[in-house]
Amino acid sequence: MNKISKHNFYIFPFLWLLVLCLSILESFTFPGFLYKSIFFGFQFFLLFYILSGFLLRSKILILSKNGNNFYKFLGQLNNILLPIILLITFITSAVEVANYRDYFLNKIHLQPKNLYWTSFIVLFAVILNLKNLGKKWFLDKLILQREKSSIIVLALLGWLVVFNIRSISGIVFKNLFFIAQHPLVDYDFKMRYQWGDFYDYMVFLRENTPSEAKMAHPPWEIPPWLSTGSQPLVRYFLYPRQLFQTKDITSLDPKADYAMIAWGFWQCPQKPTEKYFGQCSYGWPKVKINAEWIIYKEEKSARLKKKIENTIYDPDDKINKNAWGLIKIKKEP
Amino acid sequence: MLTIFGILLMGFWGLLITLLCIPQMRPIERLGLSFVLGIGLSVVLMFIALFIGIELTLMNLLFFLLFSSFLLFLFLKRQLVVFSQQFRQIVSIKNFQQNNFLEKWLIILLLGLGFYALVISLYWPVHAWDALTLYDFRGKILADPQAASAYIRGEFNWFYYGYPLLTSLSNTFVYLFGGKNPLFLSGLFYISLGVLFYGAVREFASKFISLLVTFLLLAHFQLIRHVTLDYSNLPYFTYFIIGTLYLLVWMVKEKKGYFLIGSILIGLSVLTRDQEPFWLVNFVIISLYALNRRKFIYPLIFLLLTAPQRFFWGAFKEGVAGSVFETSRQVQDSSYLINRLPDLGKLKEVFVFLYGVFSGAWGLPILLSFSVVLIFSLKELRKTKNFYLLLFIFGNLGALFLGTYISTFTLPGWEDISDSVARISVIFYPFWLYFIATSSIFQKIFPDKKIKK
Repeated sequence: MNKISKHNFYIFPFLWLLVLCLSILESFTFPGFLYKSIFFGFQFFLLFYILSGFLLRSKILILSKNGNNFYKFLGQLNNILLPIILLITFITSAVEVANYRDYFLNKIHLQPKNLYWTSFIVLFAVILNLKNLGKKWFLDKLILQREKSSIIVLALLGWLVVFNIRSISGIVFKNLFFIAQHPLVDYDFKMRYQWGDFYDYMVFLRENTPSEAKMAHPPWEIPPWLSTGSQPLVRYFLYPRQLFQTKDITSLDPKADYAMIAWGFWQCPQKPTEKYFGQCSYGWPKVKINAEWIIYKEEKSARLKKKIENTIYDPDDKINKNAWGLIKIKKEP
Repeated sequence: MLTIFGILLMGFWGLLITLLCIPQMRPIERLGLSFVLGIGLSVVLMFIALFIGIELTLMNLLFFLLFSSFLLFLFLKRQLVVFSQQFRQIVSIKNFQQNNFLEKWLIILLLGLGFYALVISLYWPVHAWDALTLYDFRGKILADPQAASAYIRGEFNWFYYGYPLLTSLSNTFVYLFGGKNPLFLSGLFYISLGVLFYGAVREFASKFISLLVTFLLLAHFQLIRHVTLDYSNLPYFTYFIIGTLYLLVWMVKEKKGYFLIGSILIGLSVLTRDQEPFWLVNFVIISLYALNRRKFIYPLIFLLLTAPQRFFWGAFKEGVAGSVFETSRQVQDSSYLINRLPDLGKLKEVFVFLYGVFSGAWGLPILLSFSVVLIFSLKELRKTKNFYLLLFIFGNLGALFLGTYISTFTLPGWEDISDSVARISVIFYPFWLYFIATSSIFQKIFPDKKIKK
């Protein structure tokens, strides 16, 4: 054991440099690059680094010295590196969230989330370098009492801390950034952000129909109308209007006074194994309808673009391609 | 303003109930419990009112809360004064400064997470799919007396009776008090979960470890994303997890108040989501404990506080929505276990599926940490409090495994439910953390004289 401790004085700085470089390497390639290349993941080397660090700390404690000049230099270097690397990690994460996912990957082939590991490596070295607080500090207590199980579990919990911070940083930054950029926006803006044009379309329908309207809408769970065809979802925005749908995409419930013109928000299935592959087509209704009037919605807005009175809705008409609107059905006397 | 008043009044009412049931409790923990108990019991009363034909109106709610709070206040005045003195002491700067360096940072991080949860749940409106289609929609219609009557008469589509009403009636509470956006309730549930979890761990572990695992709980993606979803999962986790941990405190420290509150919380979890059978596992474990200690009354009390919610809601939805929710169909599903040998191929499939979901949703670190602590604790396990906790964990894991196994027979495309399973599996993460924090591994290093015996 003494031989290992003796050699560890030289091994630790090497491991520190190795894991630091490896974490930066994976930040500029991808997480798991090492595992794919040499069948030993980054965390494998990290584990040795942590164990070497604990062993080093125990040696320093026992010898009651804070290491030689080289170690003092290493300690000071890590103290300087820590705020820099933390700042880089948080700024890159925040900038990525403010722009788009994989922003830095596209610009400079960097994955900011992996820099959390780099931060942990430097932070660990800083903690190891903290002055000997005697037996009071729990880490020293653990090492002095050779509590292997506690050391292993604490190391695993430390890993979990980094893992968790990494996993939530994206969503936290994204939300905070959005709020900071749009602090006083109204309900419509927020719902438009979450639901896009679907929300505008719901507002359009709500503003152009009375509350007692009876409206036909596309069938349920059939692409591309997975949202406009979801009766519970549409009902949330249009209640107390009554909604009608049939299972057949070519028919319309006769009880309806109105009918949606829904091109379809969802993509048709692309793979042969997917349901409705080859049977999906955009645009609903699929039949001609006598209309008292037809109104069309403006793109990316809830405003009315055009109204045509006393006409026939024809699904093959060019005007109905990529269209979103509403038909007031002309009822036979 | 009226909404804030309503929430404070409801919380005050919950606080008085906690003072009645558990005289000794940490002030911050009591505050967290006040909210979850206040909103949960308010919902139970609203539920009963709907069924017996009393309209849900602001005046009715106000009258009930004010009147009952006044009566309880007369009875609990002294305890309230003591609580407020203790609370002021806890939140003082002087008390904060008594913590060590790491504890201070953990407290700051936890306050940061709580603040973040409150800010985003106040900012965003209800927008997630299931919240719009079911929970918040019901919340809105139940705030309208005519629509509420129609709902009770079963005039809505069967879809609207799929889940119990706690989440929706909580939203109704906010709407009745003039609120426009009930999503902040999710933020309050998140904060309460953290506070209560800390309190439950602190019964057996040091402050540092309690703060650390609470941070690990709240700083997990699977939990934090629920703050903006307004689904039934977060309230369910809160009620079920804290209820189970309180039952554990009762088992180890024999504090009867914790049994009562724990059972009530489990009952409220059933009123939030009734499909999960985990409360039955709790009943079995309590029964085993009761048999061992010859305390036969406790399983009955537990059943009394939990089963009615399940059966009443089940009978109601079957009555209004017909064959879709027939109990006989569930019995038929369970028959896949009877009179047939276990299908080893499917068992393996289910194991691989669940392992994939757990490691994907929770990551290897927690699974490894739990496994390592379990291995190190095996020798002394039978003698320690964590024996019952392990029964809860493995009992509920068994229930999840069994439920998934049955799904392989009854649900075509059952592998597509991985997101739902990931959400359900949230209940295990706090139990793993609790097990790690309260294991004998840390007791030697962090003996804390302030832990209550």
